[in-house]
Amino acid sequence: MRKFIPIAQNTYRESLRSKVLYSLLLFAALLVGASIFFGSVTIGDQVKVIKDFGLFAISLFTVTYIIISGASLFHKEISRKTLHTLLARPVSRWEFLFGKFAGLLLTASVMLLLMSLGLTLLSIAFEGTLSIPLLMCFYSIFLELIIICAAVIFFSSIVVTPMLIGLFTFSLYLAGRSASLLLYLIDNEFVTGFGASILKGIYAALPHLEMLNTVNEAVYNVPQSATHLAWSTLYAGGYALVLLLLSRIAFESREFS
Amino acid sequence: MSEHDAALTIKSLSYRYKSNWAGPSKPALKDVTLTVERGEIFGFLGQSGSGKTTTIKCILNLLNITQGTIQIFSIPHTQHDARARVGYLPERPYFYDHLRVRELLEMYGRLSGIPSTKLTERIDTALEQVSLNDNMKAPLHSLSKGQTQRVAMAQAIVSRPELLILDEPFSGLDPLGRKQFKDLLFDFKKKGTSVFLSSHILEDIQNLCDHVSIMSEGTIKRTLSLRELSNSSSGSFELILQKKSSEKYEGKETALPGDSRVSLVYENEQIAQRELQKALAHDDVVEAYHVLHPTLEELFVETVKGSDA
Ligand SMILES: Nc1ncnc2c1ncn2[C@@H]1O[C@H](COP(=O)(O)OP(=O)(O)OP(=O)(O)O)[C@@H](O)[C@H]1O
Ligand SMILES: [Mg+2]
Repeated sequence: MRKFIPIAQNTYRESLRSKVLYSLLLFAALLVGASIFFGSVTIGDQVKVIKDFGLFAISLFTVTYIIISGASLFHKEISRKTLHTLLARPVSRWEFLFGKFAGLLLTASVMLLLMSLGLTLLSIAFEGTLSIPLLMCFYSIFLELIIICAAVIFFSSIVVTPMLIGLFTFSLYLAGRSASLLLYLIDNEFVTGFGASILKGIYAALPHLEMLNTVNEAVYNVPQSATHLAWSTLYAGGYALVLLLLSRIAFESREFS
Repeated sequence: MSEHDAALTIKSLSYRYKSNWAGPSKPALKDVTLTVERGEIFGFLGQSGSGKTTTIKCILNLLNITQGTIQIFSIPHTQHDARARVGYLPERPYFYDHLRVRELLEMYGRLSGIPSTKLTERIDTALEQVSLNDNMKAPLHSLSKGQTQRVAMAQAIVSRPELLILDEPFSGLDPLGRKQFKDLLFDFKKKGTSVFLSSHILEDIQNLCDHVSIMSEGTIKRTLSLRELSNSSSGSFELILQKKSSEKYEGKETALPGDSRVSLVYENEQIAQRELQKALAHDDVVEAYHVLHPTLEELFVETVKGSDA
């Protein structure tokens, strides 16, 4: 199982040596810069605007990175046949898959770390104190990234075209962020009977990313409860694990011609 | 060592690619059976599209076989332990653009399970064996075709495998490079490594391999030992002359490069001898007189054409 490490390392290294990562970091910095400007012309609490904007930027750009880079992760290895020389070695397909997941997550996490550091320093500069709910929110974003990484790996293992992989992952992300809309439809009896059961099923299957969206708590400085933290950790880990295991099943029998 | 302890055994392997938009596929491999003994160099010949690469992908478990069996040192080919003993050089190799040569070999070495204490030494040796010492720091995308081919060989041998599976190892190499690769393969053979290589460049195979299989349209048409080939006679004789006189000779005449040099071929030994005496009696210089062995090329053409009929 240890052989996933060189594969993860290689994936990480490839990201560090590509331009995508740096362009996205630059964009994120620009966006936060803009938020300082908007914050200063808004009536009210400037730091709230900065946090809101900043957290939005961090989540957007890390997820965008995972989708852009993740969608072609397998495709590049398959079309250039670099995968063949990997799998011709005593390496299992699961190790390859998990290595890719780990490498992608590592890159996204480093990106998250850098941007979080920037936003934290900015908020300290404006507030004078370190905001714990802000740190907790970074952690929630990290959990979200775990799920998105697993999702992109999952779609990569069942679909070949990068465009579709990206589209599916992005759709899952959007659907996960608005999953409670389904509950709203059911609770207000817009949909009843069999239709409602189907919607409930879809709701259960979608990742509950809203649970991991704690931007409001961070902006209004309300710490998350320990149970919420624990529960969301378990949820994200479990959800990602299920996706990875499903990917494994699909990838195990794939042919590489 | 039992009789079945061969390096590679393929029995009754058939394979068909999945149909695609271009229509249903025809079988790419039909009932392929072959054995590569330990310590031998085995040549896998065939025209383009005859199924060489497909066979190799089946061996490496990149394609799922439904018919037949493949064993590597008597281990089923789907097992980890089987692939741990194999080094593979792909056709048209391509590697990661973002890596340097050494970084690539480090990754591959670790994936092959080389302990980290031995990694540096193994990589140095492999680079030396393929004469790439100066390019260690170069990014892979900056390498020429021949250099990439050398990297491909280095990654195949870095784990010191017992069986090398090489898909057209000589392509992209200059004559010197081909010579170096051949010498390298002879060295490996001396150390007991088994080699299975595909090619359609027959000159490369002729004096390298112990056995060859000739493949055509997904089936093996013929397997032969090259020693037998060079011991057998085609029943023809060749006389090479540098003509000084205006004497006429019998036999199938072909002009050779150089001043009035000709090759004369005879099916009949007596006529051949007579013409030889005639040449010696006149002023014509006899450059060579010898028995013709069938060449691999002739055999190949005969085999492949025969199957078309
Ligand atoms: N991915 C694929 N899908 C469908 N058919 C394929 C695929 N790859 C190869 N084939 C077909 O299988 C047959 C054998 O191809 P293969 O690549 O094994 O030939 P080869 O002997 O290696 O040829 P070459 O010497 O040109 O490399 C060919 O008819 C080819 O068109
Ligand atoms: Mg081929």
